[in-house]
Amino acid sequence: MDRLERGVLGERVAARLLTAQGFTIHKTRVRFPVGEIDIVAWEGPCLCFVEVRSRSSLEWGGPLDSLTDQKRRRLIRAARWYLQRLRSLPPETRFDVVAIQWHRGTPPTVELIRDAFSVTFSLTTGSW
Amino acid sequence: MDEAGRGPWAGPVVAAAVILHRRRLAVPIDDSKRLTGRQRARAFDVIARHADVGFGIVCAQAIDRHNILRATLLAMQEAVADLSRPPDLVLVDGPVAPPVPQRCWPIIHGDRRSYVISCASIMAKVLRDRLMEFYHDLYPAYAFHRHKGYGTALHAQRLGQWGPSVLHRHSFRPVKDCVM
Repeated sequence: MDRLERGVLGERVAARLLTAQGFTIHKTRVRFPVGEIDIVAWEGPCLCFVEVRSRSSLEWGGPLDSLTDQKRRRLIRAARWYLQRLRSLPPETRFDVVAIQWHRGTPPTVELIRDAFSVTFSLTTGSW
Repeated sequence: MDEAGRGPWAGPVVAAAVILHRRRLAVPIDDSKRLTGRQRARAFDVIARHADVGFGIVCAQAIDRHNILRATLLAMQEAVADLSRPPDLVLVDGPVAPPVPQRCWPIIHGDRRSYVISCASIMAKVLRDRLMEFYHDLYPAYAFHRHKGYGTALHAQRLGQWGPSVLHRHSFRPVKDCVM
């Protein structure tokens, strides 16, 4: 399974986990010029931007280690652009991570990390 | 390092910082203004695959609050900070260096004279164009996808017809003159 397939499969696995945890999936694979968001989902009144991180058992580091500063910045930027697109702003927003650990021959280990990182948002629309 | 979007009446100013992983790329590289749209788009993909790119985006409201020159320098500063690793040296298009801790080389007409600055000019231009195309969906009245905020006859006509939007740079004379 190559990286691309792993990514696509990972997003599906993550979507399944989120739905099982009671999230309502709003959109997947949201692409902007400045970045992209894997999954946008509601958990109650909170709009969650979910980033899916995959790891094979051969790789070192925890699931959040591969989330570099630059990736985080791009995610936040993409989220702000996404919010511009919505007709009304959600009462809360949050950044979550679904960490997937792939194993050979057995199903992957999947973990949801809510509020994986935070940022002080100024939700002013049209503000780029 | 180069920027795009100093002149337009609307939209953000975008700066791009490029650290190439290769000396030369397999696509024509030149000042973004000298390439066709299609050449730019292809170059964008190739550069993205063989370089570390940082982007800085400063919105119209910030341009109004400071001035366009300071906003441009701010975008450049952000672009350098957005790189995954800090550079040792920054080659900048134009005479002014951004306020960054690294040593800078401002090069006049750098976007023509330096390969890597040309790459940065392409990244900045293409990203900004795509942002303006996105903005067209939000504000279709102004036809941003056509003129990207620049002061063309079409833009002037639409601006006169609808008045300025939140995306317009209200500190710019042509926009000020259209405030209803």
